[in-house]
Amino acid sequence: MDYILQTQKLCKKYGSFQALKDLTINVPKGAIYGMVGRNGAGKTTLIRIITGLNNPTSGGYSVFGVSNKDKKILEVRRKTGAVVETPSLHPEMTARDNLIQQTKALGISDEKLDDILKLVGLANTGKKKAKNFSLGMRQRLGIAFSLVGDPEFLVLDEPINGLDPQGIMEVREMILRLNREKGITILISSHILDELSRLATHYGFIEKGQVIKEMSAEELEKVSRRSVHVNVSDTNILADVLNGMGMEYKLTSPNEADIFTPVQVTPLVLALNEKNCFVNSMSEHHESLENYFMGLVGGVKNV
Amino acid sequence: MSELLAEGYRRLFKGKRFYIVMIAMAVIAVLLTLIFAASNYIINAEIKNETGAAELLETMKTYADDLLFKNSGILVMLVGITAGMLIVQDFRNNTIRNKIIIGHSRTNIYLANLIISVTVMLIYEAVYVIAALILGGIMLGFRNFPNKEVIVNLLLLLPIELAMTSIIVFLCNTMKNVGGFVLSITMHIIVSLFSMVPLLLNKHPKIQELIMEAVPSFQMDMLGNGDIPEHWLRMMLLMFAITFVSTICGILSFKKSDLK
Repeated sequence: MDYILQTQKLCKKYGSFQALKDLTINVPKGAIYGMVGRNGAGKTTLIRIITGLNNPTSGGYSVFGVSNKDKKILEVRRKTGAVVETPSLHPEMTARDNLIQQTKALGISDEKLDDILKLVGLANTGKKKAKNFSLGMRQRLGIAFSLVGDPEFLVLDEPINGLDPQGIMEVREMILRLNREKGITILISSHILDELSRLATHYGFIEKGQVIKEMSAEELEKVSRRSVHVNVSDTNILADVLNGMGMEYKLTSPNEADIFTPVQVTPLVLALNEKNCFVNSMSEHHESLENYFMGLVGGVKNV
Repeated sequence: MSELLAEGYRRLFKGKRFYIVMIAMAVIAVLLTLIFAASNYIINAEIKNETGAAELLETMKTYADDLLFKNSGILVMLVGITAGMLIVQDFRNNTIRNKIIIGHSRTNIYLANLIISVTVMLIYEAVYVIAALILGGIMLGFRNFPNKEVIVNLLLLLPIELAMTSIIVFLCNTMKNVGGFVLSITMHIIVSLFSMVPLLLNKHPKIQELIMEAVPSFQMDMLGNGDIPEHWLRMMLLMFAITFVSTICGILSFKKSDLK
């Protein structure tokens, strides 16, 4: 398999704080690689290192097969676009002027700028300066910046932060289009795991500066558990019945429970009915990316 | 490098600050000319009243030649305002990221900042000199200009201003914040406050002389509408050394630093 980005035991220390510890990830060519991790897990630090903004303390990485210690790394970086945390804009300039700055820095013509502005939904901003843009507009302009050089590898750090629901949908579609139509490999980190799960073809789960699991979306699909969510009048009775049937379950509230063992509905309902426990509702659930992540890192902490 | 320069010059020339400060530079030339003209007017009036002291009073009159060297301290501040702010804003807005992400080396980014800042310095110096020559020439007249001393001293100012500009770039690029900007625009004033310190070394004339020749702010005071300084070559070599050392230190520090 061809990899666009590979890191080898990457470490980063800020003073005594170890932000990354022997972190190893592999981003396959053509993938939308979703990075999942809590606040402070090291996602942004990793992005800063691979984009050249920060220097690793030890370890290394390669982009397009070129090691970060090789001088050619600067050449291959031209094929990269990135939005790191907050968009980097010239506040006194219009959207178009901002992008012209980037064409100057890249040494390319500005003929494609209208298409890029249209793609990110900023074609009609006219003479409005970037400092007067809403957070969502800034976010889009940041993405537009990253697209100016026709990148083959796009790094997006929280790209949908501050976007309204329609904006989120548009950015999602744009990311999918860039990946499918232009074949751009995308590394994306987001706190909105539900959104990430609609995009990513591969995942890297990061915890305390380390990648604890890497997997494809298909693999995640296979290992994700299905469950039946039930709402009953008395979960004590439900627990008795489920224990009697030898089923794996988890009580989530005084009236609710998730049953993980494949269950036949009729015998269960009849057994509950016999003990005067009524089933109010029952629905099938597929374990979400969020649940999988929580299971992986253990605990319901800030994601 | 040419791409970084194109990006930087566009940012410089697109902003209002560059033009506002350039106008300020010309206005300073106009104001100084008017002050000198007023001073000459008073001296002329005194000459008429005190004919006995006419010869002495005549030496106190100022000419456009003198005007040419009166801007050096202000120039440092104005270059700091324009070029220093241009660098600091690049860090504050995080737009410096856009250049690093697409593969520009930090050395080239630093050198591009230096070249752009030197351009600002040269343009502002030219604006001042042209304004001073035209308006000063008309209102004050020339004493000796164009003579060798004035022209050589004007040329000797350039390496001093180059050294000052490189220090501005170093401070702004290293501190990356408004603190660096404030320090860069006030450094000449701060150093000038200590201009009496070398006098304390009167028992060590050689050291005293070296300090006066090695500190750009002190050097500026030595250049004017007079003789070419005795050790002008040593002075210039020291200025180039300051430029070189501050640039190398700035690049090394920038290469090691982590950006947001």
